[in-house]
Amino acid sequence: MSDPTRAETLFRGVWRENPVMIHMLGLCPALAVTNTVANSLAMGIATLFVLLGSSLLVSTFKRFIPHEVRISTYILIIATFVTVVDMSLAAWTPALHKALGAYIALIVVNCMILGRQESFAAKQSIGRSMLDALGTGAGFILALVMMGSIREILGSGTFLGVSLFGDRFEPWLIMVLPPGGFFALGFWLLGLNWWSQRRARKAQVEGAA
Amino acid sequence: MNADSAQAAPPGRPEVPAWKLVLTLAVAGALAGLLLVFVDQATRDRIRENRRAALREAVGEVLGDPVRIVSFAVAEDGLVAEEETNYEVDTERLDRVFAGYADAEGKQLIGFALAYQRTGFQDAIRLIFGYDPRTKKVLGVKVLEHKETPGLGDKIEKEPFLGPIRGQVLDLVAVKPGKGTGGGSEVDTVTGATISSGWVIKIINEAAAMTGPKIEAWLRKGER
Repeated sequence: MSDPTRAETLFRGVWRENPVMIHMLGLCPALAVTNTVANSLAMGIATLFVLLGSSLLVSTFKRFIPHEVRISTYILIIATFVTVVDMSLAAWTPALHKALGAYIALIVVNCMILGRQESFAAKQSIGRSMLDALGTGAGFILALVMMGSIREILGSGTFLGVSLFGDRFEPWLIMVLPPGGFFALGFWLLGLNWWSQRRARKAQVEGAA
Repeated sequence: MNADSAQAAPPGRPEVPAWKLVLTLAVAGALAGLLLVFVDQATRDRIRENRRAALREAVGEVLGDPVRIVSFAVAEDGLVAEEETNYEVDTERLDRVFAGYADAEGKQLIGFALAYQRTGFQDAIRLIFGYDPRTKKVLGVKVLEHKETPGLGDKIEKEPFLGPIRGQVLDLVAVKPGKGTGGGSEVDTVTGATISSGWVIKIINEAAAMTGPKIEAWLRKGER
């Protein structure tokens, strides 16, 4: 098997191996803070930043990190970047920091980030690790925005705060509540699985013909 | 796989001495600490300024846009007026209160604003309220911080609940919607946020009980 091209490394995480929709990683923030599109975007961007920083450091210093203490070192690196994000958001975007609350600190335990360090950045070159981090982070943002769009449109009748249906719309309150996160994730997984199965069947039929 | 094999280096990898493991973590920890010190230095002032600005705005809001605001440090033996208005409050100890005046000279007192916090249904509810110590009437309430359930408990920060508290007389009494007798101290709790809204009322009463006597003593002394 030949090595994947750079473009493949970059785009793999965005859709085909989307961390949330396919790998089912990072579900805690995907369920918790996606009640609006703006929160989803902010959480996604914060996670992307942590992922990029951690992957850069881990792939740069992989030779110096002994196998036995690699996980503790990765977590230390991730926690450092998360604290940087936490402080920066509190300083420059206090409203956003208030909205995301405790979930910023919880980026540390997002297993998607640790997973990328362990399975990719610790083995690959700096350049490839950055591409992988960029792709996976973009995939995470995409998944969160997919969740946030459904929940905000149905739960509040708005998109990015802009009213869509006028005054007569009765919002589905449940969609902005915690159960709404599970509903939205369920809808998306159902839809995506149905679509990929249909494609696979089509390919099979065409192959047979 | 047994517990040993998970710890030991995989085959073909040389055993790493313990000091090297400790050194790796120590160096990584030191570098992380160093980076965070720099980031803290860069953000600390802004974060404090944000908090001050939020409180300054809230004090104005709950006292109905006073012309002049004076901060008082709450000491053991009473209130001490501060030369320069300081907007840093330890809301757990309620160590500072604010007086709002309708004129620039500080002759027409509107009331006092108290910022206080207690743990509610999920986490701390931090709020600020203004009241007139002469009539004990609440002038305004604003919830500064809370982590109550979105869509349910977070109704405590909204106008339908907070609005009717204005004009009520301390100590407030929580009643279920529709069960009130029209008393001047009664506040309707919110359906779906009974506990959270009850806590808001409790926090206001407690803050008033803690600092009210000192404010009244200051009022008597100054005859203002």
